Amino acid sequence: MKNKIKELRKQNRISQEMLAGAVGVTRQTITSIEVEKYTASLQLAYKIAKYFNLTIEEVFDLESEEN
Amino acid sequence: MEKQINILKRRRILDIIAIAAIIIIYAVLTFLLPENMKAEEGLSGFISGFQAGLGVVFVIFALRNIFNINRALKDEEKMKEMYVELTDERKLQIQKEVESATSSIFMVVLILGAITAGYFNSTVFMTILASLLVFASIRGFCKLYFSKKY
Repeated sequence: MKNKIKELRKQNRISQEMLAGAVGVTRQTITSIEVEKYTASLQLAYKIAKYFNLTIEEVFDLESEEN
Repeated sequence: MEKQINILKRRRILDIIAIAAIIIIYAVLTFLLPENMKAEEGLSGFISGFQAGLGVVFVIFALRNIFNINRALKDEEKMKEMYVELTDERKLQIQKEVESATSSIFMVVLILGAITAGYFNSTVFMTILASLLVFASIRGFCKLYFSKKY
């Protein structure tokens, strides 16, 4: 699923390790989500969006998955 | 975090019980089993080597687990690392898919093995068929259980 995690991390100068630690997953999970190899669960998507003070829709592009 | 500590303590107890059980089973089978119940001469060396090897590997894994749990219980940072490793959703999904694929492939291998063995040896055929039936029953039972659970 397309997402803006990498852009948001760069904007906020946050490393993958920092984001992974904050949302309780491994760095590899964040990498896989960023390169669209793995789709985050609803719970993780919510945690990531909340970390950036955004909504899930603002971070993840659900329509790209449906097409 | 309190829940995680309790889970780790429970796992440590299970590891200790597993080690004790392996040692007791191995001692009983090695020293207390009557000679006439042991495997035939030609194979006994290989079989006892296999059993001992399996037991040693299991004990080493259990001891490693106990060591890691003790380390995590003393250090909060290690505890957090361990928690993330155990609950990471991508890792759990990989594990589930590996188990599912392994189970399907194993079943196909057993079916092919049973068909092939049927042409050569009836004992091997019956052994594989029995394994296949047990495996298929367990798989069916698990499918039923999880279908009701979710």
